[in-house]
Amino acid sequence: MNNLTAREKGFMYVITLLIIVVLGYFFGVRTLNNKYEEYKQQLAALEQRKAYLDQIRANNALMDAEIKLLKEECEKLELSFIDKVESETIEQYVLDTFKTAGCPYLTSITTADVGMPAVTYPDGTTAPDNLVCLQVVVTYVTTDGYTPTQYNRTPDLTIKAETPAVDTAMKMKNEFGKGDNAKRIGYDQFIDAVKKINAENKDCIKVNSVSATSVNGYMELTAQISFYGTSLRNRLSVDDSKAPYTNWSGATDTDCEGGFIGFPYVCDVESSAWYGVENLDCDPEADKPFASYWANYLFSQNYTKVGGNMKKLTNFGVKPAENAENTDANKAA
Amino acid sequence: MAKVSGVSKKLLAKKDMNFFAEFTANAAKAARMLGYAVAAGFLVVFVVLAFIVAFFIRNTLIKNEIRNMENLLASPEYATLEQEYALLTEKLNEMTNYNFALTQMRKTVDQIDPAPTELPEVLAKCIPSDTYIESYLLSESQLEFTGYTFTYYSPVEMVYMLNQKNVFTARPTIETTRMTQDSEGEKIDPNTKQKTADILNNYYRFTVSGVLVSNVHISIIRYEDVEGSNKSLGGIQTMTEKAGDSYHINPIASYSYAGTNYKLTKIFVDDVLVEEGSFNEILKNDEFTDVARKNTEIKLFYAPVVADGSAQG
Repeated sequence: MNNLTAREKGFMYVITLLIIVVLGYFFGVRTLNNKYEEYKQQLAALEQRKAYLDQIRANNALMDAEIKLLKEECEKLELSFIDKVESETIEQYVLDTFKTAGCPYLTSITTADVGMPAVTYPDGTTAPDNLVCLQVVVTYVTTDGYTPTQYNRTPDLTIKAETPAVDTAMKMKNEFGKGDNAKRIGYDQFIDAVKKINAENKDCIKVNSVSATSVNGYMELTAQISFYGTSLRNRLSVDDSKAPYTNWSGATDTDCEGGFIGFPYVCDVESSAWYGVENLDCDPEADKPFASYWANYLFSQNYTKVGGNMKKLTNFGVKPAENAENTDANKAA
Repeated sequence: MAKVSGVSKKLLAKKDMNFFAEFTANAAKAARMLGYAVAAGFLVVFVVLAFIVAFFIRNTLIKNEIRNMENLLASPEYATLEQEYALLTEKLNEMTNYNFALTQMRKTVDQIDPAPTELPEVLAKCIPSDTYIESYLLSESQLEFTGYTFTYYSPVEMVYMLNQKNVFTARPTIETTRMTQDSEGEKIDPNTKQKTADILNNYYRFTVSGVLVSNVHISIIRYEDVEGSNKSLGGIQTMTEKAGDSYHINPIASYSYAGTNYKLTKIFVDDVLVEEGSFNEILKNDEFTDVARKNTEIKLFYAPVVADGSAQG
């Protein structure tokens, strides 16, 4: 090195410097710059993704808000229908409304499920949820302004009545065209009841029709009422309204002691309100598959002997001892 | 004076002196130049190094930024967003369908008008004194009654009174018939054996039947107008209008649902496409207007609005 001239040294120096600069540029500046471009692109991509995710987040918030709104709206819609359409609850409500309004003389009440159109989604597929409609048709009558009235054991003419049935009947005999019996009642009360039902819940109770017909001095009044409910697979709301048409409002302590199945010739179930009532539908000539033909013949003979009085025929109300005597007497006869 | 090869020694010494002086000056200049060059070289190297360091720092900073961004995107705040989006989309779709089903049920029930139960009272106040109503049937849209009267003006007077109270929409039908002889004339009382006269005016039986003033129900359904999509934008909206009244739907040209803006593309009224001229008029006024004649179903189709303001149809 020491042998080199200053010019040569300078030249070497320049070469070295150039190499350093070139190496510095290629392996330092350019590489770092290229890397920086890559990083920039990577960062831009990440920023783009962040912006996309921020947009998604904003959308999520909006969707969440829309879902909440829809949920609230769905709950409101659910509650605009009857949550549980039960025929006994609805029928009890209808009967009670008419009776409370002062129209108790029922002729008939029937309930029927009415088929409703299938519910479809926007794409045309059938939804699993359904609309339910229970139609109640009631027919009441007015009084005729003369004849004494009776309904639901009012007044009571059964054997178990507090006032003996005969006394009540005798009293009724003198009540034709007197007091309340002199008024034709039921029409205004019927219309009041219909109006009340129509106004009860306009969203799910609709009186479809009202008709009135004059019959033999009184009027027959009919109303057809529809109750709308839903059958929902995944209900969102809870109905705690306790409305009388969704919650049972009738008696819950019904006495069932005297209930029985199959009416005999004379009802002998002492705890029954039917106690002592004769079965007027019996045909004495009718075949009795459980008896012999001969017994069948004797039955109609005995029936004729007692003048068609089932109580006499069956010794109803006769104590066992007396019963035995009667049987003996029958035998002797 | 001594001479070397014919050249005076003095002259030679002077030339040598000049040479050395020149040489020394050149050497000093060269050294100075070298110094500058070294300084310049160091400067260049320094600049290069400075660039390298600066670029390195810049890269380090951007790498940090990238790392921070990656960490941010991997954080719970961002990591589950797409999953949430998918879940929410499904939930929104489910909820929209459920809402659509419920509003469809609501529409079905709302379209059934109850019978006007105040009408029996109105009817009772419009019965002339020589008339009685034997029977009537009142439904959601019809009133029919039958009665008897001594004068054949009474049925028409009744209808006039009912019309004064806006009971009927259209002209009701009135049928009045004179009853055939009902009176037994003279008869003999079986108890007193005396003749009695059964005197009765001529009388008429009449039947009046008419359509009641009723409501008309307009249902509005909004659909997404995207090929292959069967999405509804919300549930079915039902409007109740008096028959014969005009109704308006506004604003109608644009709609916003679940964060997306939509633009109206077409309208179907009872499954009939609204023609272009009328459609453009509706867009211009941002309002749909019609007269409520009968229950009507209006389907509005909307396309999502993209950034430049045009709608994808």
